Parts: sequence; structure tokens; C-alpha cells
Amino acid sequence: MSDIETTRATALAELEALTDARALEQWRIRYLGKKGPVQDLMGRLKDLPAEERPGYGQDVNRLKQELVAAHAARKESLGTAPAAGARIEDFSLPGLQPLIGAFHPISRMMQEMITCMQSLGFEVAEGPEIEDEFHNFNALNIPPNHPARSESDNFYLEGNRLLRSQTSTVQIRVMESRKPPLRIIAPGRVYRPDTVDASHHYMFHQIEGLAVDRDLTMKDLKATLILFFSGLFGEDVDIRLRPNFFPFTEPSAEVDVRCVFCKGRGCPTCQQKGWIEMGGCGMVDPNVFKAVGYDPEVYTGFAFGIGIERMAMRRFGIPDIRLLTENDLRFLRQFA
Amino acid sequence: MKATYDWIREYVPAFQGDVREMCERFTMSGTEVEYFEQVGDDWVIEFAVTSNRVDCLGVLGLARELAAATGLPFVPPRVELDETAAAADEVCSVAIEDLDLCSRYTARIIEGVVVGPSPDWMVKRLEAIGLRSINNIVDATNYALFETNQPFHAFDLDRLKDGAIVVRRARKGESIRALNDKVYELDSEMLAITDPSGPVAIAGVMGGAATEVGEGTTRVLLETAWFEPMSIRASSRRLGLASDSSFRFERGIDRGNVDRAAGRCAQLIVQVAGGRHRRGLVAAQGEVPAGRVIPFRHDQVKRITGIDIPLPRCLEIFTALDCATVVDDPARISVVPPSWRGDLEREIDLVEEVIRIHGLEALPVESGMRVMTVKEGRQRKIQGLVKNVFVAAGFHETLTTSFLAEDAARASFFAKATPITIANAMRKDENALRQSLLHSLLAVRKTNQDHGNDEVRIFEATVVYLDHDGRSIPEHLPIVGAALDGGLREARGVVERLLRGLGIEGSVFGRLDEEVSSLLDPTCATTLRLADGRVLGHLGRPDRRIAAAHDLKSLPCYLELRLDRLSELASLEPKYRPLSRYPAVKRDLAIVVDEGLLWQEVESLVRSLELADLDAVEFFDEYRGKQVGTGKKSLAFSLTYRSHERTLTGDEVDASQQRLIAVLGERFGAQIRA
Ligand SMILES: [Zn+2]
Repeated sequence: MSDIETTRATALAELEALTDARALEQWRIRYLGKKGPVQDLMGRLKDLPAEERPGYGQDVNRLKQELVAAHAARKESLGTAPAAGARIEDFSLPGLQPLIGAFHPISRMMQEMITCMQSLGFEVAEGPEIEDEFHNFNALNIPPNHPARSESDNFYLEGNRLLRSQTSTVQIRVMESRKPPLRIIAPGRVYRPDTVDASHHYMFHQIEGLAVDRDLTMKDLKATLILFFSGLFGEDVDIRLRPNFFPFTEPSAEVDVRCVFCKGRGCPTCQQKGWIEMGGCGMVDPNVFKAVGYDPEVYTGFAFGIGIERMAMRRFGIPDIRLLTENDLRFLRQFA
Repeated sequence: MKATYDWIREYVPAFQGDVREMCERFTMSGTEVEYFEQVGDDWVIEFAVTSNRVDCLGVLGLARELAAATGLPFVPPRVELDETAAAADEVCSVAIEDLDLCSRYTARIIEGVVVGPSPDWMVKRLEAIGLRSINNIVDATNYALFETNQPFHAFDLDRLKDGAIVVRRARKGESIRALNDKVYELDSEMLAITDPSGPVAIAGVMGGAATEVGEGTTRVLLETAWFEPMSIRASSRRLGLASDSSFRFERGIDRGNVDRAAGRCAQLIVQVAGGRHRRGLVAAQGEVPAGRVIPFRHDQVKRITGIDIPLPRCLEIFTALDCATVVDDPARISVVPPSWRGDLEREIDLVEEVIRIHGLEALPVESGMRVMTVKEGRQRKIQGLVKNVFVAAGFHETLTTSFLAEDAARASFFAKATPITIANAMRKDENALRQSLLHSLLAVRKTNQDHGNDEVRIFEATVVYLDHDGRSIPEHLPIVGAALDGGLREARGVVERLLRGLGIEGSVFGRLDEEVSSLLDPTCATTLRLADGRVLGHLGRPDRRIAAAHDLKSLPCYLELRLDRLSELASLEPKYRPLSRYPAVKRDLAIVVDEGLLWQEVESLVRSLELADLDAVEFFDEYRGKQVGTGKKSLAFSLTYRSHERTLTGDEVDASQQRLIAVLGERFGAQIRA
């Protein structure tokens, strides 16, 4: 074996064996440095006969190039490998998360709805949960002896008071204290003596909208509802109004949104109807305006009321309304 | 209300759509279909009839609606009675004593009936809508009831004494055995149908057993009447007895329909049970209110709906709804609704009818609503910020109900009011309204204990109800309550962070207010007051008895703050303070003092010395143990000195430190701990 080949063999073997960057650098200095064997082999050139010089020179150059290339490749393969015995962080361990809580899904849903309506110029208004019969019934055009006043539909309190059974009471309170034009939403709790089961609770939330001005029509109502629901469900939302009856609006309608799960073909979520009922709406009844001292010949207005629980349950896929008030952290943490 | 597809179509024969289309028509014109299903070769449809449309509680009413919605003709059943020469009033008489409760009472006499089973077509329809077949006479009255929406009652004429009906208030002490074989005590608030021997029926609610039609009955007296709704509702309530008849009477049926319906029912009886009608209707009646004339201004349709529906179209709709119209002036016409539309009273009711039948689908999506700006109420905004701080601090928001047992509802941090009780509570443990979130959140802590959840941090922002006089709208106090698995310092830390976030300065934690010492443990609690002495909130360990009542294995810390006061004091625009460009000099100090000395006292003493360039005083540790001796504790804190003008020297700072150490020794007997 020639000296060139011996040098190549030992250098490559040593290069293969080394394990860290420091050893690699020492190798480079040893073989490719000024005092290394490659330089030494090159030094012998001048001692050779002239006719052997070109071939020998090429061989040594090839060896040098080969070792430089091998060094680069080894450097690459060693990469960032840590030194032997160094601590290696196990990136696969779970992170230490900052402790952050969560808003209740009802709050989340409500806030989303409020934000939508605020962008349409509706301002949040609030009113008491404990009401008198005037605000919960009379002013809302629900006459004495109307079945909606019965004990099976309302929680009555001592002193001729009751827990409001709808957020429409806030309409009255706002109109009593302000003059048109006005545009409000009233989110809040309402109470009805329903036996608690998977889809009923005696305490739930509604959001009520009211707009009063000189020239509002059902077209404005429909446009507002479309903007509201497209804010919540996306721009391709499809709604329909169908006639219904409520004492405090006339004409009254129910607002349905085309089922997003089946696109209207019918599925269990929409009970095969293709549409999902969202709430009631209509033009403010002239009797309501009279009760708060607005002239129904001058003003018109529209109102709507939407249940928040059902909306949140559908949006988050919550199957049982009781989960909302049980407050199991395993449930609440899912909304963080 | 149930009806069948074929039954409705019988009276709108031109309707060619299938059941699905029929349901769609009803739903889109305001009579919502809840579901439909096939029964035999017919379809049963369940309608959700709105409370104003009593007239749609019968098949004919529904058929009329379908006809109006589709523009097809409504073809009611033809009533032609083959009467005998003998007059009905030869065998019976009718008198109304209390005309305020019964404005019309009619009797028809059918003789020669044979009681037996009903024909299949009748049984099938009755069963489809959920009724049981009894015998042909009873079935005919039920069938006619569900068709005409007019309740009937068939008496066995031979069991009525003298055939002499008197409609009057019952007398105290009178009673009746009803068709359900139960005996009911009547009183003077209830209307009764009587013969000379006493009550034979509870008017509008149920007939009596003694005059019941049964095998052997050959002569029937068919009652068809109009009773005052309030009176029927009262009887039904007081007796705890409801029927398909009382359901309709108490909602107010069509006064104009009584005689026509009587004819239809009499016709059906003869059709299924044989016999002949005696001539005429025996009737008594009081005053019948005249038909209503409603002025209708055509421009109101556009004003309310926003769309143009031409007058001829409006008139077409009124005609389809059987409203008579008089057009004297095209801008202002007169509309007379039919007797069955008691719900049509005002112009707005007519506007609704126009758009309802015209179709809400006609409304385009366009609006010219004015631009309005939105202000956010201050309290709402602050409440949002408070909730953000709690969530950022790892708290989960809960939703608990406002109801508690009366005893627990007494717990109150901010008032001595008595809780408001619910008159018709559904449960004893939920019969009052809360005045604090304490019990609600401890109950949530217990729920989570049961589910094995630890490190619980929960909060809720809501209103509680403070009653001041037992009758007016009570104070709705906005509060935030929170419970956390941790100590008083952690709870206080959350509150401090909250106050800092809201820019509230000058509030002071002090000894727990006496008034809430039954709720929190005074040895591990504090009351937070504003600079002016008003209470902002309380925090600490719940009283042991309260915690025990909730069966908690470990005691969380609880805090409750008044959101109204937080909102009042919050300053929402933080102000920049200049930063020093010179380095700080920091000195730690540990002093041994008596157990009873509060850190607060040390801190305020340090501050009162007004040491030159003192920038911050920060507590960092306390220690109790052998090294400091019993009855003593060590407090460790750091002092940061920093000038805005120059770099401080160690000597300057040490001079201040020496002065401080001397004063601490003098004032508190504090020893420096090495
Ligand atoms: Zn669907």
C-alpha cells in the first residue's frame, strides 16, 4: 500500500470513530493542518523525478479533496449532537401551562350576540329581574286574566311582585325613560316554573332587541335579523319569517334559520323540518307604545327575543341543559 | 289540536297538494304544524294553534284558513234537516236565569234514535285524533265538536224531568254526579244546567250521569250554547275538571256559530243513530253584541310592513277571510270581521291579516335604518374587565341559579334584609332569592369535590336581591363572588390585582367586619374598605359551620366584592409615571416582632418616615419557629432606593436604613434578625 492510501485509510477510519465536535476539530488539525500527513506527502513532491511529479501531485490533491469532503460530511452528520453525558431536554414532555380560566359558555354565546348587535347600532340595556305586573304584563298588552299570567307560567313573589318571565320588560323600562329614536338589546335571565329536564330549566337567558323610530318597517326587522344571524352563523345564512302571535308585537312572526346541519333537507337536529326556530319577533304593538306614552301614529318599532341556552347548546354541541348549571370543572374547562 | 288531512280537504276540495304541502301552507300562514304522521290511509296533523285563534280549534276553522291562504274556495258541510211536523217545544222548554253567564242556549230534539256502535269512517277519524269511540250519539257530538269547534251535550230527554231546562248559577249545597262517575259539590260561582229536580250538567264542563245517553235511550235533547269564558274557567279550576268542551268555552268560541253547529250535530246524530228531528230549535238568549266595524287606512299597510300591497289585493284578502268591507273612501275603508274572529279588533290586527295572507316571504331584504352610535354602560364595561381579571387569574366562570332554601338565602354580606320568598316555589330547597353567592359557590365546590376535581377556582358576577320594604322592586346589587382552593393571601392577591387593574387606589384591608363574622372566620378573613370607610368587599375562610353544611373536605377561601362600588371608583385610563434612568439600591431587612403586630403597621411606619429616595417597600416572607422564640414572628422585607437625579451611594442608603432600624426598635421593639 502506498503512503497515500495508508493515510487515506487511517484518516477515514479515525473520522468515522470520532463522536463530537471537539474530536472532529482535532482530526482536522491533525490531518489537514500544516504539520499533517497530507502536507507532508505534498512536501515529498520535490524529491521525485520530474516525470513522476504530475501523477503523484494529482494523487495527493485528490486525497486532500477527499478528506476535506469527508470532514464536511462528518461535521454535518455530527450536527448538533450534544457532548456525551450532557443533559437532553425531553421536548415530548407536556408543557407547563399558565393557569387561565374560562368564561361560561352562556356568557360566551351572549357576548357574541351582543357584539353582533352592537355593530348594528344596538346598545345594551338592563332591567330588574324582579318585576311588577305592570312591566311584565299590562304594559306588554297582556290583559288581566290572560293565561300567560298564570301561576304555572310565572314565579310570584311576596308583595305583588314576580320574577320576569321574559326580557321584554326591559323594552318597557327603557321606553319609559327615553325618547325615540332608540335601538337596544337586553340580554338577561328570565324565570318560568318549568320542571328541570334535559331541555328545560326554570332559569334561562334571553336576548331582547328593540328599535323605535319614525319610519321603521318589517323590512328593517327582517334586514336586522339577517345581519344578526349572518354575524353569528356566516354570510350564507338563510332565514324565514312565519306568522305567529305574541301580545306585545303585531304583526308578529317566528324567525327560523335554515338548518346548517342538513342545509334544509331535514335531520334530527331540526326535527326533520329543515329549519330551526330561533325566536319571536314583530312590530311593536300600538298598545305597548300607548302604555309608555309614545304616539303610535308617529312612531313604529320592531322587537325580537331569542333564547340563549338553545343557541349555545347547538353551537357547542351540549346535549343537556343541566350541564350548564352543574358547573363541573371538567365541563367548564372545555370552554377555556 | 289534531286534525287529519282528508278531513280538512273535505271542506277545501280544490286543494290538490299532498300532506307536506298542506302543512307548509299552514305553517307559513301562522298555524304552525308540529308534526304529521300517517294513520291508515290518512294523515294526522298536530297543529300548534296560537292563543288568539280559538276559531282554529276545529276542522272547519282550519279548512277556512287553508282556503284563505291558498285562495281556494271553502265548502262547508251542507246542513239539511228532515224535520217532523211535531214541534220540539212541545216536549221541552229552555230558560236562562243568569244571562250574564250564558248568552244563548238552544235545544234540538231527536226522536227514535238507536244507541249502538258508530260507523267505521267516524270511529277512524275520532281515533286518529286521539279520541275513543263510546257510542254513536256521543261520538256524533264529539265528531261535531272537533269539526265545528262548538261543544255539545246530548241528554236522554226521558231522564230530564219535564224536559224543562233552566240555566242558572248553582246553589250552595247542590251537587252532581258527573259522567266520570265522580260527585262534585257546586257553589254559586258555577253555572249549572238544571231541571226541576236540580243540576243535570256542569255548564260547559261536563254532563251528569243521571241524564246520560245510554242503551235504551230513544229521545235525545241536544244542547248547544254559548257560555261566558270566565265562568267556565272558574268552574273548571274550582272543580279541577277540564274537558274538550271547557277548553273551548273558556277561550271564547264563536257566538254566531251556535245554531249552525247545532244543525250539523243534529244531522250527524240522525246519520249515525237514525231517528228524526222534531221541528225547530228551542232557544233562549240574552243580549248579543253587535258586529264590530273597524276603520282601515290602506296606507298603514305600507307604513308597518314597508311594502306596497295594493288595495284590491287587501280587499281580496279580507274577502277570503270572510270580512265584509265597505269602500266609501279608498284611503279609509270599513271592515266587519266575521263572528268567529273575535281577535280582530283594531286596524293593526287587519294590517297583520293582510301581510299574513299576502305572505311574509314578500318582504325584501333591504333597509334604510339610520346610523346610530353605541355607548357601553360603565357598569357593564367594568364588569367585563373584572371578569377578564378572574379568567386571567385561572378562575372559571360558573352559572348558578338565583334560588336557595330560605335559610341559606339569609346569608348576606352587604345588607341585613330578609330574603324574598317565592310564593309558588317548585321545591322547598329553592324557595327564596339569594343575597350572596357564598352558598351557591360552596355548593359548586362540593359538586366538584364529588367529581374529584381539585385546584378549584371559580367565580360568578351577578346581581343579588336586597329587599328593603317587602313590596317595591328590590335593590338588584351587582356583585362578584369567587372561591378558590388556597389561602387568604392568594385570595387577597387576586383582589389586589383586580384593584390595580381597575386603577383603584387608597382602599384598605382591615379586620373583618363584625356583621359578617357569622359568614367568614374572623381569624382568617379581612374586610376591604374604601378610603372613605365604605365597604368594598370581604374575603376569607368561610365559617366552619357553613363549610360543614356543604360537606366540604377542605376549606376554600371565599371573596365577595360590590361591583357597583368597583364601577364607581375605577379609573380606566392609566397615567404614565416617569421612569428613573439611575440604578436602584436594594436592601433586605428581617425583623423579629410580637405575634400580634401586623405587617400593615410596619409598612405604614416605614412609609411615614419619608426616607430619602425610597422607591418601594415589599414584604417577602414571614417566619415563626424556635429561632425567633414563642409569641414572636419574623417579618422579612426589602427596600428599594432609587433617585430620579443621580446614582445613589451605598453610604446614603445605609444611613436611611440605620434610621429605619432604630425607629422600628423604638416603636415595635423590633430586633434585627441576622
Ligand atoms: Zn337539519
